Amino acid sequence: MKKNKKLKLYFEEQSSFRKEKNENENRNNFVISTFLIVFAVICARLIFLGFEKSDFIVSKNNDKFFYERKDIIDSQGIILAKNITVYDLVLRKSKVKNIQSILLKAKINFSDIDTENLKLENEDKSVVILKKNLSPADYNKVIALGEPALELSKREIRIYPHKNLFSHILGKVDIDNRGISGMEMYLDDKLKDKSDLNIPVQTSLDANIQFLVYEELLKAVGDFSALGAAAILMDANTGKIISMVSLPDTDNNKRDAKESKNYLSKATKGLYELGSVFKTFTIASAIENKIVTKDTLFEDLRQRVMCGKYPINEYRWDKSKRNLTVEDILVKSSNIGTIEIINMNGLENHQKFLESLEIFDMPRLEVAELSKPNQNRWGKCNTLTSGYGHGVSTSLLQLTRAYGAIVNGGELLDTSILAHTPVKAKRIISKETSLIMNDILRANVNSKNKTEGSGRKADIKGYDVIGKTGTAQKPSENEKGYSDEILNIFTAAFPHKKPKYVLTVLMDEPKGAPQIWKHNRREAGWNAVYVAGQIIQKIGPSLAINDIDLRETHASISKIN
Amino acid sequence: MQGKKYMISFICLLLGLISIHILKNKTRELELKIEKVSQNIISLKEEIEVQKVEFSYLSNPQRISNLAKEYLKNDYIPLFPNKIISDEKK
Repeated sequence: MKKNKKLKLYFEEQSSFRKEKNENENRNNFVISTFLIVFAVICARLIFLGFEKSDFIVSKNNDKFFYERKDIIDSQGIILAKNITVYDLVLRKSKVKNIQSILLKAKINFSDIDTENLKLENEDKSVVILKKNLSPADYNKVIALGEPALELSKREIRIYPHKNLFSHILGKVDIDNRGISGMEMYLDDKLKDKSDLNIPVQTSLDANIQFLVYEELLKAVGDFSALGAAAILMDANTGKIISMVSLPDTDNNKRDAKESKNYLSKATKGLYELGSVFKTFTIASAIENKIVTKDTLFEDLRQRVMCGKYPINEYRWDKSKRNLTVEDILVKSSNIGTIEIINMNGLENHQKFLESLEIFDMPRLEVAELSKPNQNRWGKCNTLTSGYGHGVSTSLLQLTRAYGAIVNGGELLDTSILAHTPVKAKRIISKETSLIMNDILRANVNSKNKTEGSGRKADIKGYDVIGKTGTAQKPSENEKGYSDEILNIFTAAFPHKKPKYVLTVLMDEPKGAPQIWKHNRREAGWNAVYVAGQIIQKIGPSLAINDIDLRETHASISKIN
Repeated sequence: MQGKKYMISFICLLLGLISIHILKNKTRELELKIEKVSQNIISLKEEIEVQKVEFSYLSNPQRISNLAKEYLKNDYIPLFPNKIISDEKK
């Protein structure tokens, strides 16, 4: 019985143990499964976190900061135009019940706000601008005030630190930062190109040279009581404009509209009959065609020749203008001699040469104000008078460009204000002709020349200047024909042996300057040439700093002298 | 033996979770710092740009010339080549 009982007990124990074991296994499985699930979830979460980025703060600004318009800089990196952020003080009417008390508060803190003229009640606008372009001190005052109705409105404005200095070249922008004149208008898309807003637009201009030219020109307008003046300094071998001034001008930072046509850019927009400077082209054409040499003698030149029923007169004729070589024709600026050269060269050759110089084509420059000269109607008389710049009009820029081709070895270059724009070159005359022309033009300026040239007042020691003057009567505004007012030009280049720079000076309606010359003569030789000389004297040292050739020429000439 | 393994795995997981939590918070703090520094950089850059314009205005040749005329007229005189007498001419 005992045994049986034991056995029974044994069996009972066994079965309960099995039952217990099964229960434990189930529990374990459950725990393991739970763990596995949690583990899988956590693993999944870990992997997810590993790849997840949006959970973290991503800087939206990326510390990149650009204005909506690129800077414009000169060849030395000096800023010519730049956008900056400014703040306006605005009153939000919806945030205030008693406007007068806020205005009083504003008036106490900002005394220059004209609160009386603010028509707040009648205006529908919810925002009223109280003061524009706050100074840093005013900005801090607004912050310190902490008035919710007085807000700071942020905007960008274009600043021209040099004010008038680049007036006509740079132009202006409107209130929405869109270019409305000058380079700002011509390069509007480029200046707003969002792909490289941090890279400034570099020009070939030089702020220091520009100032020296500007200062001399401004002085000249006063000295000669002129209506205006203009000057272009171009690199003869690259076509890059180093300086370009036109007077009168305006401060680019101010929004004043000038309606007088005198304010148009005399360097690029104005079309003028440029007078005797054209004799340079006439002679160059004849020499290039091997019709004459610089020593070819023209004998028995008359005081007047007739073209049909129209007389062509010599200017200030005297006996010394009777027998002239080609060089003397340019130095003495003989109209009749020039006509004789055209007759020998052939009217068609002369026309073709002027056309090849693209004088009557639309100029190429990165400014909005450009003029296309009227297509010249080539009649016989017109062709003859064009030889000394009469009856044909062009811009100062095109003249400078053409002149550059004569002196630089014979290549006509595209003009450009941008530093890194490639320019195309087109051969006009041979190198030999160019060298001969430089000698002839030097004779016109050389003060030691027996035949006194009209350009001798620009013979600045050390720079070996070459050039040709032009004095043209201005067309009458009210009646047919010409007025008594004149327009004077001097186109110079230096140094003589290897011209590097071309300088053109224009004086609009200059008067005599007895305080300088003790007489009242007003031809180009007495004003435009003198001004060009003064400019060369001033800019020469600055140009020579970066120009080894010019420095060497200067040194060698100084030694000889 | 198996329980030990599970325990170790559990502890590892727990440690992983805690460290990720700490790391995440630290990263967030750093991100916030970066954001603040970036804002600071922007305002400094803005200030630099204004200073550049100011420098350009203050150093423009017109202004320097006027200042030179006012203060340096006795110290600096323009020297032109024709005013120089060479040694040979003496």
